Amino acid sequence: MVREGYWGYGIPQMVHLGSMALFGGAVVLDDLRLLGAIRKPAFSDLSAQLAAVKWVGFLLAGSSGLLLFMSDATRFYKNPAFLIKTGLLFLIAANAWIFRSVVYKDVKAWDNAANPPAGAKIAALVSLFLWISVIAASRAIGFTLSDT
Amino acid sequence: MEPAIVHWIENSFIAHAMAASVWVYPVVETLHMISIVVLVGTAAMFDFRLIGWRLTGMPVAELASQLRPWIRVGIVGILMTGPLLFASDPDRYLDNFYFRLKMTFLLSTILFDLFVVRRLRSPRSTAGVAAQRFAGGFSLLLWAGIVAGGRGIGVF
Repeated sequence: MVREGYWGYGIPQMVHLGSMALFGGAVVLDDLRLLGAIRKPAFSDLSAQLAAVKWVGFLLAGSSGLLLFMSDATRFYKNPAFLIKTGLLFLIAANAWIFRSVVYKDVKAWDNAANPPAGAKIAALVSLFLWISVIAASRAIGFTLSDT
Repeated sequence: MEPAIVHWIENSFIAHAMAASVWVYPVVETLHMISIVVLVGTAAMFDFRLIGWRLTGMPVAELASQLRPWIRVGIVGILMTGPLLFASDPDRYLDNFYFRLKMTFLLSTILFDLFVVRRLRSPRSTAGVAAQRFAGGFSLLLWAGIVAGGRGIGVF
């Protein structure tokens, strides 16, 4: 259905890029706070404040992405950039989960610190690296989709 | 009929460099998108503060000073990549409706920021909540227009 319309494909694309900017932007702010590049407010406060932004971004990016995938599932399925992107998204989820269950457990000890501990910084650097890679892989999909 | 400068850009060494390898254009475009996430992401968080939705525990001026370096990083990234993309094929960009739409929103955003939002960011700002909410909401709409126009250039 989606691929048949002129707008049917374009609007999910616009929503996908816009929500990726929201989701990624909120995560980047969290990461910058963990790296000490932004010093206020307390990390748990910033992260909780941005949670709603991340959820909105995630749900919009996920649903528009699913629509785009369904429009051409057989071509996406064969596309290496798409497979890499999917793998990176799982790594992002895994990194967030590890951060929450290891580093964030004793957030009280460093919540207000301008310079959070090494574990937090590593998680933030991994997250930034994965996000940059996801954007690169996303952009690459458009250049590498086969004609059939 | 395009202005002469368009032909000059198209024949410039930058345009030739952009066309020299199949890798250059995608890499520059990827860097452009990363810059957009950094700039639009941080600008949107600031707007969410202005409309009173998120980060309300922090004064507007203080949040602005924390975000400023990262907004600048995004702007520098975009200034380094956007003109390169344009120079690769200026005729086609100028003819593209969505490119013109994006540039219109971009110019509006810059003017709105210079003349309205900049005052709200100042520590000496006396603007009320209503003015902040209006400015934040309007700014979000302008950013959405830039992103939608940018994505439209390639799709339609």
